[in-house]
Amino acid sequence: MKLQELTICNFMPYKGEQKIEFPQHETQNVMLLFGDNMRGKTSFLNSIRWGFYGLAVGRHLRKIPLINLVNSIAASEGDWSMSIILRFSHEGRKYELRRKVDKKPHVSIPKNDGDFEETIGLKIDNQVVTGDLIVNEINKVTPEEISRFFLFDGELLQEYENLLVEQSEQGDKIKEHIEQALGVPALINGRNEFTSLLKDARRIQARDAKNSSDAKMYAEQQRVNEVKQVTLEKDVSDLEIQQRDIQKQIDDIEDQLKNTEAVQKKKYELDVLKGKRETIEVQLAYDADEQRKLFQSSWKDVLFKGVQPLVTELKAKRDSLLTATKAKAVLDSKISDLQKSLDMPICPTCTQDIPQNEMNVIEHRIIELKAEAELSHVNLDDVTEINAQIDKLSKIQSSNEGRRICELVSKQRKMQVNIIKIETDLDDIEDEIRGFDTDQIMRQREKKSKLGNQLFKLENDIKETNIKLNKLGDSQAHISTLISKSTGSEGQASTIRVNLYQDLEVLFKTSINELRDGLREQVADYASHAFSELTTEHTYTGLEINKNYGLSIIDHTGNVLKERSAGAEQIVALSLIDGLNKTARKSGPIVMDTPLGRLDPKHRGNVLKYLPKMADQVILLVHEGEIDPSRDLSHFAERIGARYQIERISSTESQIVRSS
Amino acid sequence: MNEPNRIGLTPLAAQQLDELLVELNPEQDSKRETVKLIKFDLYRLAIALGIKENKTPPALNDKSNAVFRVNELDPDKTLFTVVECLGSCPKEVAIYSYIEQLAEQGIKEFYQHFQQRGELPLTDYLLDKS
Repeated sequence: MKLQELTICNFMPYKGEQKIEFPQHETQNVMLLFGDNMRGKTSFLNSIRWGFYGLAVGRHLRKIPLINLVNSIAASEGDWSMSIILRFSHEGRKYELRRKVDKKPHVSIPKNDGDFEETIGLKIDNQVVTGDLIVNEINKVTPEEISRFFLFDGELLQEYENLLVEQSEQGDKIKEHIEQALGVPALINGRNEFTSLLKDARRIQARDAKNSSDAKMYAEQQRVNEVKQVTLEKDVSDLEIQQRDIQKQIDDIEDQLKNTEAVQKKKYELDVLKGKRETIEVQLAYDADEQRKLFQSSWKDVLFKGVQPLVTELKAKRDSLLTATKAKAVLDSKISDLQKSLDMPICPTCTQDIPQNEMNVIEHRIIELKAEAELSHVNLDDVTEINAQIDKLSKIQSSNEGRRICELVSKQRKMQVNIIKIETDLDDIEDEIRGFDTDQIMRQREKKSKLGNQLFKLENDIKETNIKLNKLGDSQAHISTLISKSTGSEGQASTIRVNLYQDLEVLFKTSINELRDGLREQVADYASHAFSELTTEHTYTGLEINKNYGLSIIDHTGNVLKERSAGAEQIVALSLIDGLNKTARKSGPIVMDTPLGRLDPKHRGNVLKYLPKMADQVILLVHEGEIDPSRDLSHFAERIGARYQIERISSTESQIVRSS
Repeated sequence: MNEPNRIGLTPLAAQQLDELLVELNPEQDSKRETVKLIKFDLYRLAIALGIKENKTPPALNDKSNAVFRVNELDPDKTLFTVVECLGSCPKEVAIYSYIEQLAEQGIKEFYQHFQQRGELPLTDYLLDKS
């Protein structure tokens, strides 16, 4: 399928009629539509989706009501009509699809979808297709199930990460969409048909077996099992209703929270800052206690420092007194020796008399020494007193209270400065979020978390009930076999039917598994090929697919890469889209909204080079932050067939103009 | 020289000491026990700082409220010994009277500093400048 022309009238921001021609050239197959945020890129994507399927989607793939699709300025002028005309070709035939809504004649101002009248028309090679066949014809060309892979929002590429998470609700949903696109439901529906037929056949078989004495007991068991089965199936159905309800509530809260993300972030910062302030205040109180404790004994530290010079002085004085005492003792000894010589003037060595002149010298020396000894006289009481003073003063001990208090004071100052900074930040944040009910936001977050827990519990309950159902199915099959082999039942029509449906159900089950394995292999091959062209890391050897179609990167050692960046996630998701597209349908356009948001320039270059090869027609809805017209277009300039720009007329009106 | 058994502060300094204690102690916290300063803590620090800084305190200009028992204030006579050893006390003044004068002078200074700065300049008091 190749898109030729799109005519939009009064759809979302596009007031009046606007026409876009898609490139038809085989190699110049890329169309670029540049537009800033909020100008209408996603609305353009939705106009194609709505044209084909009568559906425009917002976040969580929620349907946007018609009243929100009609251009608000046109509506305010009383024009409630809105239309999309799509011209495209497929297998050599030309298609013209028109979808239009207008308010019903008796409605003055529409309030809901019921107030609108929708008409759809299709011409194939100028032949009008009747109303009831139109959907069939569209599905032949481009089934709605695969629209996710040719009309996709790049900002939702991250959703594909959920495929790597076991038992993720969103992952299961995407897997279901993937399998729809790949045609698995054809076999699943077949199996379900046979399961249903088998159920009926077993009931008839059990009814017939009641008349057989051999199989009567089995018939009763089968009847009991059937009752159990009905109950369990109802349980699953009820649980699934609850699950959908809770999921919807979570989606609603997420939508509300999405709008207050900035406020939530600020509120979080506020709480973190308050927490920090509290921690500092607790520390300050603790330090103040410690400071007062040190204060109580700080006077000893002050005295210790005050008396140190005195103690040093006293010790020096004592040492001097002790030195003088020793000196006096030496002098006294010398005087005593000389006095002996005076008393007995004979030399102790040679026993000769000491001459008088020598005796005079000795006498004189004794006088000198006595004078010296007199000067060195020490009162020992003084030494005792000094020692006593030193002992008393040495009892004053310090635990360095002064230094420790000063450290605490310095620490306290820093913490107080910190508190002032925090309080300034708190004031700023409180100013920013004034007017928002942050408590309500927090309550919503809590509610979402509780609902998440409920959802998890429900998922487990559903899983457990399904396990019970499977066991029951096995038991029913076993009893059926026993009935079939019992006397009287063999050869009966009901038994033949049970056996036949049982075999067919097994055949379909096996086929589903084989189909899935084959498809997964094919998707993985295509995706790995795309990945090798998109990635800038050439040591990666490829991608590995899991049973949910989630893709993991295999590194050069053959191991799965555990952590990957946001950019790598986007590359893997694009590879998956390419793999699914190539597996699901062999040709057709791809319309991508904001596909390059999280990529670095090298990856962006690789993607831009690869995109033209992804499909016969590639329509890229981008802003200039994603593709810089002056720099990035060189990667695929020769592939650009048409270039458009969304221009702002007002906040609710945009216009698409062709640019060179 | 007869040493007094009790010493204290003039009514003015006593009131200033009370005010300082209110300022320096935390408010009652029901959640946890806090450490609180008592009159002795400030009184002793005032004396210690006076001794260390070799201050010459004037005689009290009013009658002292002698509310502190010397045996409780200075149980092991540390303050007495230091003053005695330093010899800073005039001979005609009893050592504990001199200590009382140092406390009076110190408490008044604490109060004045607190009034000026909104806090006690502990770093100035306690930092060993040597």
